Amino acid sequence: MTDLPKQSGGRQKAGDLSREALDALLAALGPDRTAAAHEYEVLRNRLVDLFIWERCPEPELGADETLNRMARRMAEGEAIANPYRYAHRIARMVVLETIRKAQRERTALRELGFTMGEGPVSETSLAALRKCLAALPADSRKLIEQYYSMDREQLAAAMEISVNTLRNRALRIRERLYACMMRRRDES
Amino acid sequence: MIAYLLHEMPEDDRADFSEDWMADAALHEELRGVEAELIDEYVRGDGTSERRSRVESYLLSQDGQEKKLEFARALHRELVPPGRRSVPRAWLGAAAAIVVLAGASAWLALENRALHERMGELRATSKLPVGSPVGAPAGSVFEAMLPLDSLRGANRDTTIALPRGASVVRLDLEMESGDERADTAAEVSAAGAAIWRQWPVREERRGSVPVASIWIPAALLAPGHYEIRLTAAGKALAYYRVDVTAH
Repeated sequence: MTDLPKQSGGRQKAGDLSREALDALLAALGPDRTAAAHEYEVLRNRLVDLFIWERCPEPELGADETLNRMARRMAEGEAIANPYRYAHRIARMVVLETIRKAQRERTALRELGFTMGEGPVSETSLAALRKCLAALPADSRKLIEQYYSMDREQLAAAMEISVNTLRNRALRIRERLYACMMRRRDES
Repeated sequence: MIAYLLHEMPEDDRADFSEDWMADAALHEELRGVEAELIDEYVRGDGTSERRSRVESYLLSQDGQEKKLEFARALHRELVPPGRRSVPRAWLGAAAAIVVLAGASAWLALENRALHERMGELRATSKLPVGSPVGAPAGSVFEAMLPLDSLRGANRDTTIALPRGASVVRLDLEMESGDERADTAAEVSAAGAAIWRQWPVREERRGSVPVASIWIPAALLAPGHYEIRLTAAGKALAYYRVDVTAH
């Protein structure tokens, strides 16, 4: 049986929701348990981004709260046409509540001390990144190295592709590297 | 998308746009790409101070975002050659002062385009020979031009006196008109052994003269004799010989 989607802190979603609510949510997301679990992760990632770009503290908690409310409403019989747009409406409410709560509690959004330019990078991160770069297929590695080391218009011209296509390819590799570096860093 | 991410659009428009990208996988991916590019730009030290300030406020101040910043910095450190990295602003200030006070000089600490273009103009009008060092601020970029008459077989080598404190050397190699290629590579050798390779090599025209520019860590250029070879598609385009002395 497919694992239930996990929420932040590794809690099982069922810990916060009734079985009925969870089933209703998953049924709306995919035709079977596996497809629904995948779709759940996609939706949750988009919600996390939404809370980040709305400057909410603890974006993962905001995403989980949105999914919980969504599941409860669906268990109560509320029909939805598009789960993503539905999630967005609920998330907007959670965003407003979060910001109001932060203002009420005078909780300033976290301010970081930024270092100009390149800034420091931990050896752990660099070592993790090097391993991830080494694990890339040769053509992907070459592309990402060139993307960051040479003029992009010139590179696109040499590859006989548009700059936008080059950018999209490079950014997909960048995303893979990011996920890989975080995984390796957390493991070390 | 930048206006959305940096909160430069009305709130109602932001809400409408966020509903659209929530329901559109391609749009969401595109938005993540723009976010990545904004953080890369920030790490490079590019962008106006206002842009940098908004990136800090709207993209980097939330939980979890420090990971993206750390990743971008690691990527920059690992993949961006020293010659393309941002130069601390103090160095740019020193470079600007040199341009104003010393006028046409064969070396400049430079990184931004305005200074770069200024250097090209000065060289074009003054026909300056190679390096006449006047002492470089620590961490600066030393630039020297290797003219066409230093090609192999010609009578003289070029000598450059590397100023103390230079961290990167940029050599502008004058080329024969018509030799420009999109895939030019350069190899620097000492005593028959390659010490530095660059591919591709950026070429540009300065006036009517094509010039190929290569960047080399100054630490690699101990006093001695070096040969530089430009190739394209495995075929040699030009050779240059240069003697490096310490200043």
